[in-house]
Amino acid sequence: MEIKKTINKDELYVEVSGRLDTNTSPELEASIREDIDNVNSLVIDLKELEYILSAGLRTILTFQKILMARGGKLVIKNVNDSVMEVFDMTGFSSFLTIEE
Amino acid sequence: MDLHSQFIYDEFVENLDVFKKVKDIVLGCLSKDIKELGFYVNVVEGRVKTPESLKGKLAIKGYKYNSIFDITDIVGCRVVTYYDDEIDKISARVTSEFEIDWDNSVDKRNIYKVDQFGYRSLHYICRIPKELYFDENHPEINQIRFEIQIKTILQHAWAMIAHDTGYKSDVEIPQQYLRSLNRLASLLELADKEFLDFRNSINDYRRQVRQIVKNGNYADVELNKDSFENYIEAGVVERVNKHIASINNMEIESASLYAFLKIFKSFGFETLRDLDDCIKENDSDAYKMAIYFFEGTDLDIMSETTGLLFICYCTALKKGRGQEGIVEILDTVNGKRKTNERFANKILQIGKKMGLVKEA
Repeated sequence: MEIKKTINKDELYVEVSGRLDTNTSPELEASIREDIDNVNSLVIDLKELEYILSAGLRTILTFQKILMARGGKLVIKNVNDSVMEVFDMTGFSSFLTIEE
Repeated sequence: MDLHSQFIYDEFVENLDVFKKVKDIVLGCLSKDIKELGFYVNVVEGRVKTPESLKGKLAIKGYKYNSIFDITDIVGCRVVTYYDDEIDKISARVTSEFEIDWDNSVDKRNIYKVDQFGYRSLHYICRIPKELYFDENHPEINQIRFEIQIKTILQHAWAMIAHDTGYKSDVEIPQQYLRSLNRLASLLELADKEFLDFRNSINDYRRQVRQIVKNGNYADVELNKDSFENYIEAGVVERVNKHIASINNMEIESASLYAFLKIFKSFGFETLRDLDDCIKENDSDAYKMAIYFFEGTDLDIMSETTGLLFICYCTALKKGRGQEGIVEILDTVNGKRKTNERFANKILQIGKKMGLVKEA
């Protein structure tokens, strides 16, 4: 998995590529935690993400809760079909902000 | 300004910080009281009289006062409630918390004869007792009198508009306009009562629905936000979710289920019985459909919406609504997305395999 981060004022933009699973999710979580206190908006770009498993969903959920608790927002962008199917079947699509 | 008024005005300027302190203490207490009472009010606000307003008052009746501390509305706080009965609840707190100058306090709700109508509001003139707040550097804080007004939002609207006319009291207003204002006051008194009855009726209805749902008499209960909420609390949806979650021993993440009410209404359900029958009829198929998705994956987390989503997919397919019907469900729960169509097609294909879709 590769992580590319950009901070623009109040927004942390994170591009994730590869696989988001039990082995890689802690790395993503640690990387976002380095900056999450300094921003109010987190955009996770999944354009190059091949697939996502439960650990990845939990990481996204963690930051969604952190940001919502302080009035911020998390946006998921550029989701491919297989990842979108995971969001749909688990019902995560109902509470995540997913931009097409 | 005459010399006497100037003296009082100078006292005001010298003590301005103390007046501000009094206002802050009173506002803090009122805000805490309302929070403890557990209802929402329209506003809790306070102000120290502006220099311009004080000068105007002194110009008219400065002769009545020996000192700035004789004027009881230099500090004024106001609580504007939504409902009439909340005035008494706040009043009980105010009278137990502050020292009340009863001679100068007015409950205008009780001053009118049965055939009279006018401004109904509760005005207390108070002091801060030492038990509530004491600062040895500023003992005068406990001597300053201030005003607390408690009124409903409709009484407040009436007072604001009446004040906007520029007349300060009834005797200044031409008789024909005074009659109009009082007519409006009677109308708003009636509206206050109607709002109170409305709120009480809604609360009674909710209590009844809770009891009926608890007893399981679903046929008698109209499907609406309140009954749906109680139905969810009764645990039926939780059972559906736990059934599906058992596929992979999944954790269930809480989520709002209100969007489903619109979907169930679109299915033509009118009572909780319709909804309950639908869930019972489709629970097994929803579980089987979920197996198609979850079995063989490592997914061990799902949203609370998952159970009802699969119930709705199965119901829509059995009703012959096809892919379009599934898209409508996804649009309602997830928001409109292009990808909903693709996922709906997948549901349709699984539905066909399960024999839920009647081929034309």
